[in-house]
Amino acid sequence: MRAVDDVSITIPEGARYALIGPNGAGKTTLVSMLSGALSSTSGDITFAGEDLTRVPMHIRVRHGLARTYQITSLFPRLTAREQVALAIFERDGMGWKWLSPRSRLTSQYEEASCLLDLVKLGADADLPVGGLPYGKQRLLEIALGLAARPRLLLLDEPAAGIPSTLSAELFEVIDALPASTAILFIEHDMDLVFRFAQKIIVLMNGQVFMEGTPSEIAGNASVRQIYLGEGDHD
Amino acid sequence: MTRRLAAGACILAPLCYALALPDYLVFGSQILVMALLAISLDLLVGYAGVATLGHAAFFGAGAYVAGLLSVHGWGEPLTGVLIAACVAGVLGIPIGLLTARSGTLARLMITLGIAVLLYETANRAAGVTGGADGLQGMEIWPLLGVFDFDLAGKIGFAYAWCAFVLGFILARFVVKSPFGLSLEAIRDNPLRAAGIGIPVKARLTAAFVISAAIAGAAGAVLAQITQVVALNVLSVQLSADVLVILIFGGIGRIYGGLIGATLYMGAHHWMSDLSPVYWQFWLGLVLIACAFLAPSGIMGLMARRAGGRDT
Amino acid sequence: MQFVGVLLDGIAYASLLFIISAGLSITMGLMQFANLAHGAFAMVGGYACVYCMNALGVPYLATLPLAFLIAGAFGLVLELALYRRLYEASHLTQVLFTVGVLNVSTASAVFLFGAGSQPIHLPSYLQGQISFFGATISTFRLFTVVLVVAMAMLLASIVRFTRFGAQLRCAVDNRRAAIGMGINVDRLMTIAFTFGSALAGLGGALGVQLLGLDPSFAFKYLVYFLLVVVVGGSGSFVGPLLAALIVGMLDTASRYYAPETGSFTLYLLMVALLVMFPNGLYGRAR
Repeated sequence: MRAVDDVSITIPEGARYALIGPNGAGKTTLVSMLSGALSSTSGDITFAGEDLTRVPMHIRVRHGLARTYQITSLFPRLTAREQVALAIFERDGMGWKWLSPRSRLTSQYEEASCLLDLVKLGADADLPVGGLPYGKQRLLEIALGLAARPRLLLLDEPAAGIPSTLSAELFEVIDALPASTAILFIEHDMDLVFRFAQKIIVLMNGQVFMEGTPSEIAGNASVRQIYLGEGDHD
Repeated sequence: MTRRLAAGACILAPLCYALALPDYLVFGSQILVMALLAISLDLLVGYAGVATLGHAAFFGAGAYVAGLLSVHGWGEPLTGVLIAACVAGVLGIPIGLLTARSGTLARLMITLGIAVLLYETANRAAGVTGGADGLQGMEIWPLLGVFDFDLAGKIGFAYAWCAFVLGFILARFVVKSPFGLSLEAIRDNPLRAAGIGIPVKARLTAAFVISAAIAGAAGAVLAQITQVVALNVLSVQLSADVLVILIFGGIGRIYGGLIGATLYMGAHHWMSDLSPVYWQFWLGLVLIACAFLAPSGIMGLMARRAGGRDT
Repeated sequence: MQFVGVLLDGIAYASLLFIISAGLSITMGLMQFANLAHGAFAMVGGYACVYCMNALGVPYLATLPLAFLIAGAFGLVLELALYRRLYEASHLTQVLFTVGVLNVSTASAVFLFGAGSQPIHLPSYLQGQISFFGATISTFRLFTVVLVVAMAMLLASIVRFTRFGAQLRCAVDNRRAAIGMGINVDRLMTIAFTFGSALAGLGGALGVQLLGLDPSFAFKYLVYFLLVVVVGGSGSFVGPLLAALIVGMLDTASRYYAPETGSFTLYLLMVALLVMFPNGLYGRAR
């Protein structure tokens, strides 16, 4: 059984692509392979002209390929501000400074505060993240992904677990990102997908079933039958 | 602010001890050495989240290096400590690399195995290390050319105190640095740490090196003060003791090492006079109670009572 | 000593290690709980055996099932009262707790039985040597191996053919799925823990002759039990069996043929194996 089978996709700079498909279609597996959490048995990954196929995850992040997680994956004992600041430290190459106090890195901390304000977490910035409600943790997920100033941001169901009022706001934040940042997001909420995606990739049984603009996808009968009609459980 | 006060208190407390108990300076030196060892372990256990049962390997390595240097003609203490710390730090590299990708259980076993291996090596290589009888014949030159290590232990205590303060300050710098924060991130979530650009394996190995160097320095200081190296500096018992000391004092709080060492060794000294069996029994009960009531150490318990935040 | 004698000595040692560690392997595999105090149950069995024999005059063979039951009873009580509350705790807390239990057991043993080695007088039919296919070998060691092999086969059949065994295999493989299937994993753990402690007790009783018994037993052999389980792979019987054989044979061989090296070769091999197989020879990533 192949989780992802012969998938070939191209994401241009500044794109806003959605990856949809029924449960078990292989979406998260694909994203995990792109981010470096899983390695592929064959095929390669080229990013901005560099071959990243065998490159470990933390170096992919350095190249500008960042990812957020469907099941919130944060640092529970650190505060929100510290986590985002850490991501910025790493991005700016300060992660190896072992003898200078981080309290001196004011510009990085300021940037962290800005990011947190962007995702409406300013008030909770100094609480350990483990105690935050789930919705706020999801927002921090996004902030953490953004801190790396990625060229491609992979969002794995960013709105999962957030009430729909908040998720629309969230997507507006994402939409307002610099045009040079490409985004590939996995989503089940079709309203969000159709509103924000330039192009939709439909994955099924590990293979690319179809690619197209929202209207093309919406108009396609087989997609509607196989996927869209399959239980509106959102 | 309270954090700074606590740090200041840690640095000055041994002074009070020296003034209050001038007849127990040798014992005081041992507490300081153990505290320094506990602090080095805390970098791994509390901040990097790496559980290890073999920390005595670094301590013992440092002790034997200092001892062997002296026995073979180089008794200068300060360079001895430096060399011992370097050797121990280098030892941290392969151990760090070997355990960087292992799960907790495998890591506990690998570190335990390596420590036991070193112990057995020192035990069998009696020609070099003195084996089970320990390394004798050390002669340490006067400190800075002037201060002779006297039997009353005054110079030794001052020496241990300086080593403790330096190690404490170093550890505090590490903990407050971006590097230190990255270690905490690795502790909390190694996968996500990689996801924000942290080279996990390299950082953990570096943490091992720093921790090992400090532990090695502590071992060297002990060897130089007592002018003998006993085989038990490499023992599993010591690895377990320092872990217990750390847990007593509070993992993830740099000053936990001094508190834990003082509590543990003080209690040990007091109870062993009464009866070693009692000591072991009551220690066991306290450990069991701690596991249920105060899993983040005595300091954690007090912090929770005061309503304070962890770390 | 003849080679066959050394071989049997090694296998006997391995059998003891296996029977004691088998319980540890299952509890570690089932709950990821490293019970550093596991040797204490072996110690309970050993002291039960010695006490019954020396103070109560019970014949040796009868003390073996007694050791089994008494150690099992200790295991049951401790699991229900204390251990089960810590399955979700951090590994460090578990280390803290089990080191505490180790200390309490050792101190209690000193208090109750003194710090010295326990003497044991085997019945005459288990002493001495017999002729076995032309070689002369120790009767008791042969007895130990036969008994442990029988117990191992019993264990294997329980695991393979009973419903309990099937549930156990299921839960070790994937605890969450097992719970989802309606398997009472908590009760499974209690039974496994009790049975594992009982086996350890039996091993301890057998071990009085071959390994010696004094209050430091649990500490002294801790490294061996852990090595056997972690190198072998927790959660299985085959892995620890293999590891026990390696440890037993290698340690015995070093003792006879290269005594100056002590256990050095053994530890070196174990560390190497651990690094090559971080999940054990027969384990799997959890």
